[in-house]
Amino acid sequence: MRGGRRIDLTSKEFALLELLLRRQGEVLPRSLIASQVWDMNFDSDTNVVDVAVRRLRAKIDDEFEVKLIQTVRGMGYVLRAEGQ
Amino acid sequence: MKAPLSLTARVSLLFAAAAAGVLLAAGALFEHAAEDHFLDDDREELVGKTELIRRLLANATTPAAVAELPTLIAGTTFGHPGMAIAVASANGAVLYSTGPRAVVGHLLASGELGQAQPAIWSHSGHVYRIAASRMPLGIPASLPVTVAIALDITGDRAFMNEFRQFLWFGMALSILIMAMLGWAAAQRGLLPLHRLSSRVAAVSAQHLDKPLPEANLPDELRELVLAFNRMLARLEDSFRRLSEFSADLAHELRTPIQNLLMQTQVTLNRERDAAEYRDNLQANLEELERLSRMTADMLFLAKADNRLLALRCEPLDLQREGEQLLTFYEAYASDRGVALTQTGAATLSGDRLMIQRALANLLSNAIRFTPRGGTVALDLSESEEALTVRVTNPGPEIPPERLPRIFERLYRIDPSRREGNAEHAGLGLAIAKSIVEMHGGTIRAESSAGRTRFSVLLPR
Repeated sequence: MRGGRRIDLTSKEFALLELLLRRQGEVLPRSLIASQVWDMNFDSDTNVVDVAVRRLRAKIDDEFEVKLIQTVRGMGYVLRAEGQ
Repeated sequence: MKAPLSLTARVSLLFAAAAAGVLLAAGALFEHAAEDHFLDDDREELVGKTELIRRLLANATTPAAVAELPTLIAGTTFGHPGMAIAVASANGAVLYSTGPRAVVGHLLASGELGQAQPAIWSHSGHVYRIAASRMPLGIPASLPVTVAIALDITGDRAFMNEFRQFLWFGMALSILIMAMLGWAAAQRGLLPLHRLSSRVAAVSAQHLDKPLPEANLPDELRELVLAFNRMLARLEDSFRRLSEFSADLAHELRTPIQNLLMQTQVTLNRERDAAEYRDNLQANLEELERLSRMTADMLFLAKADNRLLALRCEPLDLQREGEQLLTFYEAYASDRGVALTQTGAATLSGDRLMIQRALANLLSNAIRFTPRGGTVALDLSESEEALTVRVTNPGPEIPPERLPRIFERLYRIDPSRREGNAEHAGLGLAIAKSIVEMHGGTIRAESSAGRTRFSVLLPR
C-alpha cells in the first residue's frame, strides 16, 4: 500500500524492495543487490539489476510525487524515506 | 641423475661389443680346431706305432725272432727324436726300452696301461703324450707284454702357444680398430641429426611460419620432423592468437581510458560548481567500473589458463539453478521482448558459483542476440555418464567459419560493433568455455536455420 493505493509486486520485486527498505539510506551496489535478491554471486556484467530496479520504480514511484528509490551514478541504488 | 650416453658413443659401443663377440667366438673356434688337429695327429701317430709294434711282436714266433725285436723296434723310432718306447713283461721285467732314460723310467713307473685318451706328462721342459697297451707275443703260450710309447710334443705345444698369443693379440687389435671404425661410422651416420638440430636451433618466435624442410631426410628423422612441424604450426597459431589478443586488449582498454581522459580534461577546463564535479566523478566511476570488470574477467581467464583456480565442487541441481537464473534474467529479457523457457532436469557435482556464471554468460549472450518476440530456451538432459545443457536462441546465423572463433577472448563476430558496446567486452563466452573445461566438459556452438545453439557437455 502506498498513498492508500494497492500495489502488486512479484516476489523478486518484493525482495528487492525489502532489501532497500532494510538498509535504507545506504547505497547498495548492483552486485550486492544481485547477490541478495537473486543469489547471483558473480559479478554480472549486464544491466539486469537496472532493469529490475526500473520496473520496481515504475510500480512504486512513478505515480507519486516523492521518489523513494534513487540512483547513485556509478555506485548503485538507495532508498531514502521522505526525499531527504 | 646421470646423463644418458651420446648416440655416437652408444652406437660405437654396441658395434664394438658385437664385433668383439663375433671375433671372440671365431677365435675360440680356431683355437679349438688347431688343438684338435694336433691331438688327432698325435693320436694317429701313437696308434700307428702301437699297431706296428703289435705286428712285430705277433711275428716273433720263435726265440730267435724275439731276440731280434729290439733292433726292429729301435727302427720304428727312426726320425722321431724324443720318442721313447718301453716293453715290459707281465711281471714287470723290462724286456726292452729306447729313448731318454728319464722318460723310459716314467713309462715303466707309471704303469698306465690301455687308457683310451693318451695321457700328458711334462718333464724338464718337454711335454710328452703317452699311450700304453697290452699285447701278446708271437710265441704260443707266452704271457702278453705291456708296450708304452711316449711322443715328444714339445714343439707342437710351443707352436700352439705362439699361435694362441698371435690369435688373441690380433683379436684385441681388431676389436680396437672395429670400435674406432664404429665410432667414425656413427659420427658420419648421425650427420643428418646434427644438421637437423642446428636447423631446429635456428627456429625463433619470428620464424614460426617457416617449417623445417621435409624432403631428403632419412626415414627415422622424417617422423620427427613431421611431428616438429606440426608442433610448430600449433605454436604459430597460439602465438598469432596471443598477439592478436594483446592487440585487441590494448584497443579495448584504450577506448575507456580515452573517455576518462577527455571527461577529466573537459571538467578541469574551467571552474565548476560542486554538482558538476560530482557528475563528472560519477561518470568516471562508471567507466572505471567497466574497466575494473574487464580486467577482473581477464584475470579470471588467465588464472583458469594457468590452473590457478580451485573448484569447490558440491552437488548441484541444475534445474533449480536454471530456474533461479531465468528469474534473474526475466525482467531484463521481457524488457527486450524476449521470452525465456526451461525444460528438463540434470544434477551435477560442480562449483556452484562458476557453473552459475557460465550459464549466466550463455543466457545473457543468447538474450542479447534474440530479436524482439523470440524465445530463449534452456534445455537440460542427462544420461548415465554425461549431462547436456543447451541454450538455444533464434536470431541471425553465425557464419560457419566464425563459429570456432566465438569462444576466443574479445572476439566479435561483427568487428564494427567493437566500439559501441563497452558493456560487453567479448569475454563472456570465453569465460563460459573456460569454466566448462575446468569441469572436464566441452562446449560447442552451432548455428543454422535461423537459430544458434550452445551445447555444454559435462561428465558426471
